[in-house]
Amino acid sequence: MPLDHHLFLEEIKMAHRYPKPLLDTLYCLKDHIHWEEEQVEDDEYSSSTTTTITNTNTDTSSVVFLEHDLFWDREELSSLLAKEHQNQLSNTLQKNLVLASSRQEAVEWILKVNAHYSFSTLTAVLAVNYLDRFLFSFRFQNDSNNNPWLTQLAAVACLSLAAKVEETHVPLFVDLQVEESKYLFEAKAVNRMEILVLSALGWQMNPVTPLSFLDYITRKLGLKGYLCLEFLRRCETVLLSVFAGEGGRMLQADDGGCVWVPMRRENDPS
Amino acid sequence: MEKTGVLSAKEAFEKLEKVGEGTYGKVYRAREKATGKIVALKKTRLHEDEEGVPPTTLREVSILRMLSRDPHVVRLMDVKQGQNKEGKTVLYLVFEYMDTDLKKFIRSFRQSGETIPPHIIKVILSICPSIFNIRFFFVHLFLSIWLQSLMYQLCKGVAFCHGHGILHRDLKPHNLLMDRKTMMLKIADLGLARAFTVPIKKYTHEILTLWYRAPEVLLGATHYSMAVDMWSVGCIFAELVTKQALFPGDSELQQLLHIFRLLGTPNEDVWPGVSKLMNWHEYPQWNPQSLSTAVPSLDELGLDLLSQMLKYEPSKRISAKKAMEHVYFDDLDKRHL
Repeated sequence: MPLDHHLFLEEIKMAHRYPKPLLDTLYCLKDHIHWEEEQVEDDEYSSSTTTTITNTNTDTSSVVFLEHDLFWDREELSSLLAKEHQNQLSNTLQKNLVLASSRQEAVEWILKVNAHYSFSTLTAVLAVNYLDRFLFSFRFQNDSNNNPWLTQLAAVACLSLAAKVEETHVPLFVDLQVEESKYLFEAKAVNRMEILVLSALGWQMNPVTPLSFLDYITRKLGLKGYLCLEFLRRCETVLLSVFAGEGGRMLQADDGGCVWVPMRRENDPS
Repeated sequence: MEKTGVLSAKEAFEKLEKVGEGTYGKVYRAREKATGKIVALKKTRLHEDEEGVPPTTLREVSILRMLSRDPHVVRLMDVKQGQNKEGKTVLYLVFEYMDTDLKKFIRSFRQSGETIPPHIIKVILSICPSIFNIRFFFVHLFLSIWLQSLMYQLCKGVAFCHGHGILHRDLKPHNLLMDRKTMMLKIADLGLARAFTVPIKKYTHEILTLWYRAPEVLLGATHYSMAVDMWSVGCIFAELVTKQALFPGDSELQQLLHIFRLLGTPNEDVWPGVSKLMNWHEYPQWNPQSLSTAVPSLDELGLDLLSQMLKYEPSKRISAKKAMEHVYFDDLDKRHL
């Protein structure tokens, strides 16, 4: 009972800081947890009845992590913090509502395409990171003739670049534009925009992101196997909901740290 | 596209000669006109009717931006955009120039005949110094002295990559650049390198030149990590000693059989989970042989380090950081490395 109470308070605090979609995500996760628990029970039942070593080995091997993967270093966290760059676009967007609106549409588009192709969360996080850095570097806010299509073209290029960095299979430029948008760009235009984005970002395409901190925290906590995967999956869901949330809040990399608090409590065996 | 006052690649550099083919394009030795400095230009053509910047180039540049401050990773100095004779867009990666690579270095020693173990050289030299050809003697003395240094530098460079969450995935002698004068070794060609986070995701299967490919990759594991690079380091270590590839397979199956003949066919006892890997089949059953049969001139400490690099079970394989601390390197002067 005290634990539930504390968790509830944490959720209230989170709700104050984040828009409603986050709370909805947490509620949805609870339903999902129930389904997951049922599935786990089924697995336990089937493995106990069949008693074959093969089944249990198969189950465990799919979530085994190498010891190296869980290794962490004392300097790692300070290294991540030192490499983190403040997101400088937030203030700019408050003054340029047109740009804020087209950025919001671009982010929504990125998330839809990401889901369509089942890209990883990191691909989405990278794409939004590139877009924000690009928009800031080109200071669209000073352009009274700001073109929304340019932001959308940048979004296509940024998602393509993120997929190339992170995914094993990257769709063609035209196939990438699967979700409805006001514009459809030909390959040549996306090609040129890719080069423009890369030059603007100094080819630094592996930035510190919230997921870098989740990576560190997971290893620090020593979570293993199913628990590790579940923990990461929930954190990733929360991060994506923040991206998609009302107002398109700018996400600092170390926001990855605060969202794991309720997850940690839920994972406590006590 | 070009900023005012910024020279294009053609204006900034004078190409001197083509020195090789990289993962995705030609490599030239060139001189920077402004400074007279010699650099390596790696050329990548962008096909404007195709799909933009190749993932290999994108990953290599981005990862080198993260890693170039380590002395054992080749330094990327700049990225230049230009146009070739047909007006097509070309990217030039500007690297520090290194005059050779480990593959050429090893080959230059292979031509000087059979290997004689350093400790035997010392014994014979103390008894009958006059019988040796001077060049032959110095060649082998030279290599035995530098073996530890080269291996230490390789482990240090790999440890740096892994410490920054980067898998190289294509370590082989050709990708390890060297300066003959200083005997510095640098890791290069990160076109197949990848940033990784926990949990390791499914990666492309077709990575790593076959001879240096770890058994878990050959057996179809798609979740793999830093250990695949350490297997490659072990193969390179043996090749530095014998000047022949340790496991020179010409197909994936032959590659596995080469490994199994020396290290024994793996089973669930030595490698839990091996029989569940995607490409696992029934294989001929070989017993493990002593590594000294394959690398006869390596001393006991070196053989111990090598054996830890060639553990079947990836989680048991030594890490690059731990390898640097191995007693094999205890008597190496590390002050300049």
